[in-house]
Amino acid sequence: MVAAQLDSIKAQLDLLLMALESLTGLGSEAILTTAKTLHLGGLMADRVSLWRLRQASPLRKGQGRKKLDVEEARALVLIGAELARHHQPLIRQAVAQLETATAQNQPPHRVALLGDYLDNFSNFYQDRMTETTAPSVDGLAELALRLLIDLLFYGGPGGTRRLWLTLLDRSRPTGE
Amino acid sequence: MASTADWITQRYGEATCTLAVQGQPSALSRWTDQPLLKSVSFQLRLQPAAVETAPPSIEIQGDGAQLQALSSVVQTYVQQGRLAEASGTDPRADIRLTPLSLTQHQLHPGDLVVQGAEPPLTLGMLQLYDLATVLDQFEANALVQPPLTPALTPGLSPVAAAPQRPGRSWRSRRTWQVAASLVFAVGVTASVAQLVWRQPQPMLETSASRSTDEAADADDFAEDDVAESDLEGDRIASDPSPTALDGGTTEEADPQADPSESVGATPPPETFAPPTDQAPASAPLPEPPADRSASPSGSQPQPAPAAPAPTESEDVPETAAAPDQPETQFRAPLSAPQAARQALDRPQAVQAYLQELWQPPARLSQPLSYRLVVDGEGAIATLTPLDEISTTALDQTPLSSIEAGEPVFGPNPDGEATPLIVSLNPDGRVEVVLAPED
Repeated sequence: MVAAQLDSIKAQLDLLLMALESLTGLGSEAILTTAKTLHLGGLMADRVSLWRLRQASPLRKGQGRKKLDVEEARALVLIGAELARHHQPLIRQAVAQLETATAQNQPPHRVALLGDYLDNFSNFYQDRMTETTAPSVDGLAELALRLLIDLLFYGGPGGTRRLWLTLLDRSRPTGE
Repeated sequence: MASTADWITQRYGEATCTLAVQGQPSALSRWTDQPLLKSVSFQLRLQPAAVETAPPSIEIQGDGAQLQALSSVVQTYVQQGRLAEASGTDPRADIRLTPLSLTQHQLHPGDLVVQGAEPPLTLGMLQLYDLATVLDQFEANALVQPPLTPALTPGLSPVAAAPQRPGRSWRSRRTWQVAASLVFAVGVTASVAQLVWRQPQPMLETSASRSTDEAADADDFAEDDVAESDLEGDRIASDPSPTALDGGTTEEADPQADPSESVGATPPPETFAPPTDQAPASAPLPEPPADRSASPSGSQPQPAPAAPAPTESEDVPETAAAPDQPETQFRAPLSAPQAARQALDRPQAVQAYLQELWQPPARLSQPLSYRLVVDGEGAIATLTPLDEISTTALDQTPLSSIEAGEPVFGPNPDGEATPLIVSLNPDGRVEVVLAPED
């Protein structure tokens, strides 16, 4: 079930940014600022253009889904990896707590940082994604935790390349 | 024979994982984007993350082919989402990673030498991440040269058949065979076990790195490029920014060092030192590039023979030199005092001397092991065979031709006697390590 959420490159990129939002509390402004820093402002000059890019995810509610071209996908990869790198200490802390909780057979949501992250992720998902694509509560938590660990790797050295390759590896042709 | 100056050591560190890679720069490096290394060996140290159930420190050692195989498996495993087993393409290495849970993974090390834990090894999420990171950092900074003489490595895949010095493929097993013979001969299990555990330690120093205990007393050793503490609990090169790709450091001997001070052409160390809790300071530490840039050595970087091509600009640390000095783009040549001190390294000097003379008898099938005490002038003060065959074969070794009181190894700077263990191997290799004091 979780893998199904990551079949699409567009869905992966959107979910990745959503995981970052859920953990760090960053919003559109931070994404746009990072885009400018990376000289990608031309591809996402404002909230509307960013929203349109993220709306390309097939998991999203709404109509008129746009296609994502290579440059736009690249921009989202660069931004996602840069934000993950910027928030790497917090991501690492969260993964360390997840590791400890798992080793102690403690539910992750009982750990404050992870509990907030899971709550935020669940809320974002229910707000933004179609109900037909929604996994179960446990499935959603598993998806969130997998994305958290993914962020650890994307925020490290070579994270951009790793994210790019992962998008290709995980995605399956949808015919869209 | 390769000289000391030809060998470099790169080190990469993360919070739970450190990687030291040693190799000889290939002349082909001038045509590659990254330095090309041959005759590679590596030492990987995995330390517990901040999890109570984490296993203790683990040491993994292997050669270049195994390093590539390990890196390939780890990167594939991470890339595939850590959900399915990833295995290497090298049947000899037989390295595999399998998921145990969302945050736990099992590493089957195959033919790698593992100390500190019984295979398979359980890795936590942070350990896996740090492992992937240091391997990634190495691959961003250097390449392992593929085999150029396939006839010498029949039956091996390209990955498995990476160039090796004679005997390197079984280097680790041979090391432990030597260790076993020492244990048997001396018969003092505990102390000798410690000796064996430390056996490769000084050999790492001969590669161009300095141990902390030596650095500590080096008042004239201007370049403070050796960290003062063990890695445990310390995050090295933790900056995940693109420049953190350079978190690994590279050291090599100064090729311009005065030959008169050199101990001569010296083969590289055979193995890395497995750091132990008993001697934590013995493990040379990774250091961030900034430490090197702060070096007050004052010596001008000199391009070494077979200088590797420059790395990409984003990989170049602040200490990067001009384009005509590509060597320094990822390694800082040692100062003259440093090189001199390295040249005077006692085990290295003895090893170099004996290596030139050692001609193994045709029928020799096991290493010959001796305990030497070299006095401050460089002469053999005492010579003790460590087993029967070593006693019998003594007259066939270069040790027998050294006259008492003859200072063949050169004076020790501190004037003190040095106890050593010498292993003369049937394949022609000579291994010399510091012996524990009586």
